[in-house]
Amino acid sequence: MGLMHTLLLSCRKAAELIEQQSFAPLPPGQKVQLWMHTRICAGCKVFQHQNELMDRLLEQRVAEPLPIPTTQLEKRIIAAIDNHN
Amino acid sequence: MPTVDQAVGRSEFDGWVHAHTGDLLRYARSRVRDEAVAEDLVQLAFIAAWEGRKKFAQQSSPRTWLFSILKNKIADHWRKAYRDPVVHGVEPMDLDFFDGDGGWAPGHIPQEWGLDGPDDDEQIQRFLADCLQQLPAHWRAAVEMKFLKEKDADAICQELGVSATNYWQQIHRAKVRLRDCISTNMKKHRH
Repeated sequence: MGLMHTLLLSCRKAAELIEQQSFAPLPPGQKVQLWMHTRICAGCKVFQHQNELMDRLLEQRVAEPLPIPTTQLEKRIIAAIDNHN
Repeated sequence: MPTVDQAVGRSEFDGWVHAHTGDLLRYARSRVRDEAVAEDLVQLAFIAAWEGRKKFAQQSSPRTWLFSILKNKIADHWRKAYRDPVVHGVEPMDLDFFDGDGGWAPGHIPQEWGLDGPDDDEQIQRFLADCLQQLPAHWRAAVEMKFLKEKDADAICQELGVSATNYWQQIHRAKVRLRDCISTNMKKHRH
């Protein structure tokens, strides 16, 4: 693992870059290192996929599909607006 | 051009309350920790909407408009939580998912979740929701701010008073933990 970490990043660094990438493009050198790292390292490759999946789920997150009873809350909101005037 | 005369009236507005509270509340509940807080944020959003009704452009839908106000209220909530993490409890110790050489620590090496159906997607959604609840408040705040997508990362950093590097590193640490938590739940689920 030693040589690989020196040339192609540690997993800790690779995982960091995977997240950093979603904010701004990586410098070309690091981009190549990351690409090569994930070609060789099964764990980081899985990490990358799951990280992307989580991003998608975090964005699309929809609460419980079941309707929630909101009659009380609606009454409360309408009363709050009454008081507000 | 909408004018003051065309501002939404009270009975129409009450109609919006009845029509949209359910969807707004479900959205809020998926993005904050407590149900009571979610309800308060929906209420605050409606009050802000009522106050700002003259600004409501008739060309956009009430639903879209109410959602954008709610997202701002949720962002305010997390901004406060971010600045005051003490109120939300003591920060749990940061588990180290890597060994001394920077490799994945034993037991934490990412493995496929073995997704093969629509049920699995729902399962992951549920695990994700549970695991989000377990994050330290200000990590969760950083994650939630990112995915509200109302503002770009630079604007968020400025509001939170962190450097861009600290911001993405916090999100990174939060997501490493989230991923590990989902994996643990997934393993339990399969056995």
